[in-house]
Amino acid sequence: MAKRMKILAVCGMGIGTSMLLKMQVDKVIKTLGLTADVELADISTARGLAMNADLIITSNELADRIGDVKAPIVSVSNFMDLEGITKGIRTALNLDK
Amino acid sequence: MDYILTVLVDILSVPALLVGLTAFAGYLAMRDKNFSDALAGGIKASIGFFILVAGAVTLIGSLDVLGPMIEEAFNVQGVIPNNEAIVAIALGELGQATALIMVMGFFFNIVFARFTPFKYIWLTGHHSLYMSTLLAATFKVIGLGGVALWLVGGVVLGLLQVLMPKWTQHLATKVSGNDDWTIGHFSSLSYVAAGWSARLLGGEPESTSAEDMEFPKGLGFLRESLVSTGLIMLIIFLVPAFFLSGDSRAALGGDTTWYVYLFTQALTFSAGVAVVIYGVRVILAEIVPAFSGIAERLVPDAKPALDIPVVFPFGANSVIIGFLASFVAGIVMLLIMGPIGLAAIVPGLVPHFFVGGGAGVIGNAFGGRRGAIIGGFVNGIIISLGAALLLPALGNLGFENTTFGDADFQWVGIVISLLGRLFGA
Repeated sequence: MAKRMKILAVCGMGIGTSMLLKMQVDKVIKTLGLTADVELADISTARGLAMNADLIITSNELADRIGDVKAPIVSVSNFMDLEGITKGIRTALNLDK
Repeated sequence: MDYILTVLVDILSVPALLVGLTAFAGYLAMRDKNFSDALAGGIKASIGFFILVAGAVTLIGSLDVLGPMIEEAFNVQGVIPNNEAIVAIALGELGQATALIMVMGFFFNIVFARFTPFKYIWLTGHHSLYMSTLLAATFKVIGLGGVALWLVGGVVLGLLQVLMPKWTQHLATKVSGNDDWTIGHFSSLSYVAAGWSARLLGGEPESTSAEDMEFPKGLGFLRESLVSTGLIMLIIFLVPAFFLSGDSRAALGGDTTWYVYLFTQALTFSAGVAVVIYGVRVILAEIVPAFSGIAERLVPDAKPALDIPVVFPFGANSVIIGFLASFVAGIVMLLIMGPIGLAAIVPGLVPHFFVGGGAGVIGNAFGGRRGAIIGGFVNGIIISLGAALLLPALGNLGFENTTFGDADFQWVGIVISLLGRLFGA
């Protein structure tokens, strides 16, 4: 995977919880041996930004509010569960096939 | 030599450059970042600060319309608690002190986590920034300045960033069933009070859990702070106008119809808040990961203290119940507080939603659905009273028609003010 991916971390205001997601995703991306820019977004602007994103990560309750977007959405319920997040990202990026 | 010194002092007294340098240094301190990443990070953080200040200009314009209107209509000072608004306004004057307090606060957080039993690393960067602003403002009012202000502010911030998570640890454990993280959100007083009162007055948490109810999901839009701020601002700007005399009302917009004018002002305020939030995001996206990376290396056994929405997945219904109860308490307090001589604290949706929602989840964990209602309601009372009592502690900032929305900003500010009075400052 040579291309640098763009990942969107989304929460209500785009400054708190999405920051935690970003830091977790940064770790996951590194262990998977990929490169990606992880950016923060609030839920109101996420839909527009999602057009240029390769992956979206957000909390369970917000996943539905992003609506129909091309990029796969990984929804997280336990923010500290690095294994779960890794699994979600692997599935979304079809890395297990 | 003198010239170099002058330039150096100039750079360090521009808060935006200070923030940029911090981000730059933070990146360099993380081993896996190179020089160009560090430079880009520093520049982005600096620009973020300028964006934030630009938002303040937008905000102030519409607050200057709202404040006098409420004053004329109800004969009380009307105040809308909104962290972003008060912080952006305050940073115009307190930028340097705030930036230095925040940097020192991060440093002392790591020191305390390393050498005391309170092993917590605070990862809610926007609340660090807001608390730094509060500390800069209130310590300045009681006469602290210069290096003393930066140092005392930094130590207090560092202390709060390990003590508040310790205080709320039992709540996070109860809600989530594990204790490898805790809450890092400067509304700890609300959360502790919610847990305590829900245990005392709530129902049986297992059999009456709010999560077993069928509950409409239609209120999810409230988490979109852009929408919820805009909506509530429309109401807040329009309602007082009906209590003005006909002439005053007609004169509001000049040549523009008054309600069209108020409509644009309400949305302008929301736009200002959105700009401020964007600025905060740009700054934090550079600084928090650097801080977290450094902290993880120096204090590997510390637990992270996290923003409140991390508890929301443990109680989707409770979030909504807690918010509604908190908002109702906010309205009740609005009606009570004016007549007894306090400022009229107009309930803003953002603190009631996020903190009320968190208090609801905690309340539910300790006392079922009744606990969720009690938890939210208790938060509504605390943040309304706290906002009014904080105003005198803020000095000139207390007249800006906006203030801090969360309980810890409020009680910390009030305590600092009382200490100042006690020691005759």
